Amino acid sequence: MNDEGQLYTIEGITAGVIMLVTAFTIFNSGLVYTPGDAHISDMQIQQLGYDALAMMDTPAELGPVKESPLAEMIKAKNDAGFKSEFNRYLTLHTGTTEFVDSLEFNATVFNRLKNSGAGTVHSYHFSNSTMSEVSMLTREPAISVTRYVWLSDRPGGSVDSEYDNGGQLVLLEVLIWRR
Amino acid sequence: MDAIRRIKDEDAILSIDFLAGFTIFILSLIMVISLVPGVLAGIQSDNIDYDAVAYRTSVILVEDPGAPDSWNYEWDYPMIHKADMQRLGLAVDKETPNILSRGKVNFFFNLSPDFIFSAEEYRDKVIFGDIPYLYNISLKVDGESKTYYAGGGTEVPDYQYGYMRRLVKVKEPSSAEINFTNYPGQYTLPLDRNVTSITSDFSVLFPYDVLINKSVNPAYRIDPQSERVTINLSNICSDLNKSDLESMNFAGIAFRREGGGSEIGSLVPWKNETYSLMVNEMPYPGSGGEEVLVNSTNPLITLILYKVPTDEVHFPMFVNFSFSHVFKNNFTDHTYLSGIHRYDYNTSNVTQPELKDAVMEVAIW
Amino acid sequence: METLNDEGQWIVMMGFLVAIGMFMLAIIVSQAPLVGQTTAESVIEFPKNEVQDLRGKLVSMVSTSPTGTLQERFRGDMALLSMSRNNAIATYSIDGDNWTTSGTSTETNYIYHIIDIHYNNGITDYNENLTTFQWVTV
Repeated sequence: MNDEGQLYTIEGITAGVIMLVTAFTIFNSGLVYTPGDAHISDMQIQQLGYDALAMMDTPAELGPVKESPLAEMIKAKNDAGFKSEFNRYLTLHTGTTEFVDSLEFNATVFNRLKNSGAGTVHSYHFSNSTMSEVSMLTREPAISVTRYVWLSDRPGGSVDSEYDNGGQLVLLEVLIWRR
Repeated sequence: MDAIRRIKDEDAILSIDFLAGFTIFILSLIMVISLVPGVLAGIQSDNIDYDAVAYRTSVILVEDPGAPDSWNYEWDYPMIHKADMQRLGLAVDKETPNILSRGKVNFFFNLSPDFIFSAEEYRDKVIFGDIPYLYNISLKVDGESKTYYAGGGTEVPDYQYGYMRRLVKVKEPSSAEINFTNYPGQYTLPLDRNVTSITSDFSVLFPYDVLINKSVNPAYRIDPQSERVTINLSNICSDLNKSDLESMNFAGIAFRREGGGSEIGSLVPWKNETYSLMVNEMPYPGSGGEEVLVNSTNPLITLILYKVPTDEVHFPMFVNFSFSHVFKNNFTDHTYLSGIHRYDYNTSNVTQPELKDAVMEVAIW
Repeated sequence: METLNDEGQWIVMMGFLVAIGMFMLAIIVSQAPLVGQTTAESVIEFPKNEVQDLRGKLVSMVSTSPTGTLQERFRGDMALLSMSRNNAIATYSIDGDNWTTSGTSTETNYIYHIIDIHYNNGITDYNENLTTFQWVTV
């Protein structure tokens, strides 16, 4: 019988201790990182903006005049009308939650000038909310929402360098951000 | 002393020391292996993304017409049909996102007395998911003072909750407001003075081939298959010579097909669930009811047709209001009420479907 | 000097191997969350509203029975504005190549037009073959 001192037991214990210590170190050290969702409010603003433009671009009735209120505003270059109407949509609420009115916006119209070939894009500032200039120093990101608007004719008083003649499709782009 | 045989490696002998050490090792290995799945489970976030659920719920409500997409169950045992509803979407049509149907809104927010959804049903048919979420779904329509809430909801909490706000338009159904003072001469016919009594029909015609026009945007379409149509008759005698009239009575209604005039089986007047007939806002049977004196009182007759069955829309339908006239004497020629009023897209005939602004808020926690 | 029996060091080695294996697993696992995308990001990224807007405009344009010049205008405007502002290709064809007043097929009261929509913003590619109806009084 071999009576020399063997270290099997101690080795077993050592191996066990090594594995367990490693396991607990790993599981306690918070290695799994779940990034917080910083873009939820961006998503909400984007959907709200799209909804507001879509609602403004829908006539209330099937009438002989098929133009939407939004198209009429652009054709008439009615920036004050757009400002109040868009603001009204942004601030509609049901009263269930505490409502905070904190959104500012800036609207630009883009249209195509045919010239020759594919054409060029012409743009002009259309409307903005009252405090938009002051609040442009905000840290919040601006969300862009767009809508195609069909104009039956170019806005009155436009010259050829601004607008082609006749009915056309323009793009209304509104930047929205939190104050 | 015995000779001790040297233990060689291929002898089948394990020392107790080895066994003890090996056992300890194996036991701790088993413990560690059972901890490993815990590493992977940590990747699933502890936080439930309530905003994602709120967004999805709002999309289902606002942009999806639902499954089935036409749920006008205002008649014929409505509660039974609840099980058939798989998804409660409120949109008019899949081509018209953000335009909600008034009928569906009324059902969803439990504004219809016979049709109530429970919290479990809202969770199964709108919110989905395994977790029993608490919710608060509300709708406020422009011009209506009351905010509508989905049943079974709870007040919004103080702590974080998922939230989504959507802007929509609610499509109000069309109606024909037939005030006879607005149609002078249009719905009267002359009668020889010697005839002292006559029963006549005033008809409202539904020309389905014109109404169900696929080129009209569903947001503005008049579709009796999926939304109600209303006919209001007022000032019925205004165009007739009242002094000549001994009595004029309203006797009831009938639904007939064009030409042959055969009655439409599924809309037989006595089956008063497919429509609602009211005189001065009191229910009145389609036929067999007491005759209503029209010339001395000035009643308002209202007919709401909830839903026309799909088989019936192949032929134009006439809704006949029958009136019996008795004239005082035969001194002058008489005039009596008769005519056909078209229920179509002409704004002078019918108040067209109107889209009203509304806002919907969904909160989930 | 007599050496101790060193055969049992296999066991400690196995212990170390398991520990190292766990460290590797932990490193791999820790990479995973950084690769994912949050729900809000994927909602923002998907051009749901742009596609809905595009389809809606096309369908309502067809129902007004546009002329060839109107077609040209609409197509050119849409392509250029979509590319320059939304970084997306938005093109369509009606009834094959060109708009035809007689459409693809007819039925009582309706002329069918088949619109083939193609939209691609680099992340989402959307194609649809859409049938629209134009009302024609017989």
